[in-house]
Amino acid sequence: MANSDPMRSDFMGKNGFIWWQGVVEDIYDPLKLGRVRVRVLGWHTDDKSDIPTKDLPWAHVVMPVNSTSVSGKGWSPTGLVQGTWVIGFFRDGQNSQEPVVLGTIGGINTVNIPIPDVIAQVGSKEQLANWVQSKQAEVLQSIEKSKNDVGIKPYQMMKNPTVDTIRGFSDPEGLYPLISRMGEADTNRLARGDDLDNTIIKKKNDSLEYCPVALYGDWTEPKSPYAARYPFNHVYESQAGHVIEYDDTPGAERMHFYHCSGSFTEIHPLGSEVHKVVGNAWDITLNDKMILVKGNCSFNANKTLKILMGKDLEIEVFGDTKMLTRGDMTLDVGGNFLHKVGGTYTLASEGNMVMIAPRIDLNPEGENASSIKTFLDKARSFVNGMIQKVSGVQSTSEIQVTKPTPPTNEEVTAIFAKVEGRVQYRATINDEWKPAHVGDPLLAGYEIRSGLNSYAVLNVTQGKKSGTLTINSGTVAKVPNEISENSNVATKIGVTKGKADFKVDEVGLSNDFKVVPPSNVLGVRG
Amino acid sequence: MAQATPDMMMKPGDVVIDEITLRSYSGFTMSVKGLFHQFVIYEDIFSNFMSGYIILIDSQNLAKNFPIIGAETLTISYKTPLGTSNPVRLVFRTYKISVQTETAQQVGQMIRLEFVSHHAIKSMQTKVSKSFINMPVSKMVENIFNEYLAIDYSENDGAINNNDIASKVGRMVSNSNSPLQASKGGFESQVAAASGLTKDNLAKQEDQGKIGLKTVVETFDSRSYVLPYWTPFYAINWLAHRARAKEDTSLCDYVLFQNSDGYHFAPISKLKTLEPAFAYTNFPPGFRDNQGERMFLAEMRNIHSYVIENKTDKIKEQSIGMLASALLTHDITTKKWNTTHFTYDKSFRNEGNSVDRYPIVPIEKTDYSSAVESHLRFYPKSTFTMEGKTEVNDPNEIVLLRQSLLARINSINLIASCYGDTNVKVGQIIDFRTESKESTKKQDKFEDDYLSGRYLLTAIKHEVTDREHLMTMTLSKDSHAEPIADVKKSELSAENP
Repeated sequence: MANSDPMRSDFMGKNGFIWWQGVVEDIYDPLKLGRVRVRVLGWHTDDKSDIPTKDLPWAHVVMPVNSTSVSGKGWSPTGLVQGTWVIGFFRDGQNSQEPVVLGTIGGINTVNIPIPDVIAQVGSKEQLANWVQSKQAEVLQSIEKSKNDVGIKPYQMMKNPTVDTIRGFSDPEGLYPLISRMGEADTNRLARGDDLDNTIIKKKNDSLEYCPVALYGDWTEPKSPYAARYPFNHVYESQAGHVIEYDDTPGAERMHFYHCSGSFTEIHPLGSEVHKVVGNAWDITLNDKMILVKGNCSFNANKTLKILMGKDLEIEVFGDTKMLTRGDMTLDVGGNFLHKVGGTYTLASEGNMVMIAPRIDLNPEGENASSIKTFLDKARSFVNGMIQKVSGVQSTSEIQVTKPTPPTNEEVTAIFAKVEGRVQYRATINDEWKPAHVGDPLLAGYEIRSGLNSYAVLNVTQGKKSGTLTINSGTVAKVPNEISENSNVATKIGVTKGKADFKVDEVGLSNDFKVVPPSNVLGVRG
Repeated sequence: MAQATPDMMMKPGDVVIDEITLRSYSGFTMSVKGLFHQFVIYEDIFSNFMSGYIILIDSQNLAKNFPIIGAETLTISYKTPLGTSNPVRLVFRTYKISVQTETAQQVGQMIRLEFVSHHAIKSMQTKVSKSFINMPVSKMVENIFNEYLAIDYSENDGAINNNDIASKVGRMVSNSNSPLQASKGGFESQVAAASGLTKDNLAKQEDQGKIGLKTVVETFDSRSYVLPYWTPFYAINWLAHRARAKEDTSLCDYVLFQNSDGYHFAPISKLKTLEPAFAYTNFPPGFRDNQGERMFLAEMRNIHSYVIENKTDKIKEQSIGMLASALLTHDITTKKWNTTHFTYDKSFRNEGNSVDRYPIVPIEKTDYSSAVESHLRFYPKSTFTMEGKTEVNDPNEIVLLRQSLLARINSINLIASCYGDTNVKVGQIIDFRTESKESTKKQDKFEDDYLSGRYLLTAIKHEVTDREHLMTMTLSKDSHAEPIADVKKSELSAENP
């Protein structure tokens, strides 16, 4: 051997790093270790009669450090395709029986018509030239035809007639390099930003348009904001055509997960997300699930929507509720049915109206009235409890639905939406000050005081009207007795000391609990 | 002085030269028997091929007119004129004019033409890139030799024909002019018998006009390798590292070498066990029989002088892993690593893998045996790597033993000068006798116990002129005929003057 020092010539790692380049010819490792058979250029002949593909040693593949290779953890070592040029080394140095693959090498696949086979078929140089010309035409035709093979699965792919499967250093199945990618860089088109009409971008942009929303209006599926520039878009595409993009192109940052069927999730540069499922979809949560939509939400099912609640259905609408049913409507209640309306109740029918009951009471007195009132009280308590929950009270034990007394229809009520520092409140001058917590309910006339560097925000409601009361530091104020919608009329709020601000929501009760900056003047701003 | 005839020796060192011919690259053949001054041929058991040089005294400017361009075929046929000798006929390929100068008499020029075996050139001209799956190593070696190295002499210059080969095969079995060669035949026949390579097989190869391996000792187990563009000789040497004999798997020091009989792929340990082919002595000259006649044969078998080189070099022996060593292996597939220790004392056998009976060092009484870390190796392993192989492909367990066996055969190298004999070949066992170097008081100790005994002939330099044939032999051994002395008290100082 070349090196006579046994500590160097016969010691793995000290015997020289023998590295090589070769072509993957077999990916079907019987041990499923991700090993591949590689024909190593300069070491193995391309003559398969001397070294058939099946005689090549299985080469282990090196995985990156962010993927552990133990007990199924980390990335699976699969992904190489036959026909890939790889670079690696021999663990056993010059003995060259134990290859290891370090990585892959891309390039530009040039059309390489297997001339040796041609020579056997044709005779004269003229015939050879004609044959090559016709072959090239055939290849070009194949390339053109295969351009739409985006997302086509391997077994559906067209074989590349330019791949010489008889000799080594090529894909024995003749699939790779893809005929549709001949003559271009192996880097994904999405990463290069080239020939986008033959990528999934084209396919994705065949998007849905004018999807109607309830009552009126419509929306359109956004186009992909793809604007990648090389080398910022980091793309992975599997054999089947699944694509993952991490696009770092400045100003056009996207994340994109695309299934070869056309389903995808794409996050746009400003954070918008398009999630499209071309087949059926199932969304299963075995525990709680919270969904928050701060803007509008449109739900559009072209066919039937079914909602099944295992327990209660609770819907709270701070604004108006409009429901348009173009067909019949059935409301089947197994127990009592309370239909409470704060204002005028109008029942209109263009057909007949039928009310069937064993007894129908209008403005009842006595026992029936009492039982109805009790039912209404319970309903109010429940609603208030829910408001407290929404406002952030952590423990349900803190919810005191009986205290204070639920307000009457036009009474002003307030709830602490935000408390910072030392803030206290009391119902009357005779009561003791109590520390304020988010969710604590107050009624008109309740006093609130705040310490230094402290402040509180209360959501105040009166019927359909609502507002936001901000108590600044070092302030003593009272919950107003009335909310005025007219900005010219002072709201009835007493400020004994310090500064407070009151803002009337224009429509309904706002769920935006932002703090209004303190003002020197107590005023009303609509 | 009377000239030797083909069958009659007039004096020791006589040689009969039948033919020395040069064949040019264009096919022109001429005899240079009358032009040669000397030729030297080397045989070495650790070299794959024979080599040498020939010195021609040329007054025809052959270098220009023949021409000699380093692509000539040189055929040499010569023999020692003993009754049973057959000519040794060797075909070489010249490759270099190393010296070309005027003769002292200025009547011509002296050309020193270097040559090697044809196979050496052929090995350089081709590469083996081929897979061998589930096949004994010996079969792979045969395959490589036949496919890449076999030379069809029938299409060459006819220097060797089928009859020559047939006669060689016959001689393999019957050639014996030494009483020590006895009836068991030469090493070739013994080795060939062990290898299963029959005369019929050889004849079959020869019928095809090709020279294959003369001896192949069959190897154990099937292996699978992909040989990557190596020269055939490199490939065979590489395979030799992985070969172990079918008859005894501890015989794992395979080598490929050429002697005047041909090529042999055999474990040295197998050669060590052969019967001595010749006996050589080193006694004062003057061999006469009772009638006062010179005893030519005894004179021929007398060593003129010898020197022992590099004996008991324990630094070297430790560093190359002869005495103790360790092997660490790691299997990338099963993730297992393993350490194997090797010690000389556990592997030494007084029969089977040693030239003689007793070890050259009582290693169990020294600290060498435990020093396994004096020679460390680390080999990768890989199960299930090759098609059809469900176990580790390489027999790592023989690595340390092979290293030790190859190292220990050079424990004692005796370089001996004597008269030439074309019947003596590398790979034979020589029984060497020399007198004791002790003081005359110990006349009863006539032979030197340590230096006398069996030796493996590992290299020969034949120096032949038109009048004389001399040899320098390298005799090697890994053991003694007698145990190492265990002196309890100092007798040496009392008896030595």
